[in-house]
Amino acid sequence: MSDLAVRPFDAMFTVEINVLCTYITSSKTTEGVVHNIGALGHVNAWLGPVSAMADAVVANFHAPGMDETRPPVKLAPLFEPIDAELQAGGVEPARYWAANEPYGYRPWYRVPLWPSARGGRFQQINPAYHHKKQREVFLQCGVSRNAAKTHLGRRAAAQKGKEAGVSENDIKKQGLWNPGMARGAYDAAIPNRNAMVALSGRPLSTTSPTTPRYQVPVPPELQATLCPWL
Amino acid sequence: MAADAFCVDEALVNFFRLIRWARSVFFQSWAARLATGGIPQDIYIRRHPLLTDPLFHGFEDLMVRTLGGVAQSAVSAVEQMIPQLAPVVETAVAASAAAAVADLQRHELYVVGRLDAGFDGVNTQAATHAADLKAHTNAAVATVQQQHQVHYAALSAQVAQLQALLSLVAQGQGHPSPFLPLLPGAPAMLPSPAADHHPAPRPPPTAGIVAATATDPPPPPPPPPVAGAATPATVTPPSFSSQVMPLPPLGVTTQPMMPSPALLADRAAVRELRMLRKLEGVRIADNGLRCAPLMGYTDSTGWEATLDEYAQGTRERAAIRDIEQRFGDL
Repeated sequence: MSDLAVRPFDAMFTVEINVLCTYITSSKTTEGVVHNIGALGHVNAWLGPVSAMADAVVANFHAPGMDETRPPVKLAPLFEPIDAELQAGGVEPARYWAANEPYGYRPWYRVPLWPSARGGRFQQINPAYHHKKQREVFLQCGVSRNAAKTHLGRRAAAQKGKEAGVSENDIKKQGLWNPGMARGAYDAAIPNRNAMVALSGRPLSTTSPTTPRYQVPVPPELQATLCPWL
Repeated sequence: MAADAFCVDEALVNFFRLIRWARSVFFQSWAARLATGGIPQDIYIRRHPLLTDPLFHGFEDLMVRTLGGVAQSAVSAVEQMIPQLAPVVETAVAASAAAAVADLQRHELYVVGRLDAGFDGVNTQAATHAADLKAHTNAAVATVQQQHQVHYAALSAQVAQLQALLSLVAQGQGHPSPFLPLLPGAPAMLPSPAADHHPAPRPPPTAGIVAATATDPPPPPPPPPVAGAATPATVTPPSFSSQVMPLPPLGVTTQPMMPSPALLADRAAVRELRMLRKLEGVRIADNGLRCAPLMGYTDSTGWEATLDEYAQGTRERAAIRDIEQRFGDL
């Protein structure tokens, strides 16, 4: 969850629009450079990373049997964690290196968006299990067996962006394919506007991609029912 | 590391901001999803504790009304914009139509101008070709006449030689032959002795008849009829044939047949009326001298029909006013 943030990019759109930012510090090919992949609210309420993020937050912090009056994880940094606290955070005490955590150990850093079905909140999903379950869903949706893989999302994003008229350079930046010197070093923390607009189901000429359903104010009492400890 | 009151856990602040956003997005997304058609009321997600709250039901109704209002407001905005855009669209269409008509008239005038220029060019070319043909014909006639003169001179020389031989034969008998009268029209075929010493211009063949005297030395044997005296270098052509008379034209008119200015003006006026669509179905009279649309009168004698007939014209009849303005001199 610590890889996600919501930020408005005032100079990018004519109105203040929240952008869901996903920060990627390391990938299969790069490490040490913080990349930012932005996402806008999709025009279809059933699609889009923003809605999926909200569903993931509810799934993580409103699981059945959870005490909703307090955070499920400790939010304060632990400067001298004990072994039990490390194990509760999914870290083997033998693999913990205090020098690598100069600002203290924060268990909530390790809350995954999609935890394992078994093994606790901090247990990441098994890649094989992830691939198996996602493949089953793809096959049920009519996706061919060759394409029913976990990388289908990257392929779909590239194809949708190309169909919408996004330049190949922007698609490469969005997918972290051959990002180049500038994208890799200097503007990596700025999301790609054209890719965001196109993947949200809007034409590239959209200057204020507001989502009408996100403009309906939610009553504070109703908001307080979700994560009431905040 | 100890805790510091001046330190801010920026990551935690971002996390809280994300959670606050998710608190709204979750309810907004599910309210919008459940507002879409075809979602059964007993869907399993409705059993989620957060979505069973009565506040969510009220918010769901608000979402339905808002999204419906957004659609209606979009439709009404379009409906309100249509009357405002109508005059603009009408003006733009009228401007486009006027421009198209102007282009049509300009193109027609351009085509007419090109046709006129083409006819002028054709007439000029015809005149040039006629002049060339005339010059060529004159040259050909001059060559033929010259050849005829040469042949005539050679034939005259031969006749003169024959006459000289006959004269010699007659002198050899002591008397001129009464059977050789001098040809009155025959030119001088043999040069006179004086002419041999004076190579001045010879007298014209019509000056007299060469009379062969008995004191004349015997003439040289006659040269071959073609290779000797018949050559143009040795025989002077008659003076009358040295002048080539100009030939009359060979039936090619060098002056182009241009229509009269009145006919051109009439045709231009008819063309203008046609472009203004005032001559639809109206017959045009064109006899090669003048051109005008045929007038006609309706059977009705009412004053309204008369006014229309004068000002606007009727079916297959041009307006009298236009004809009077453009063809009043007919």
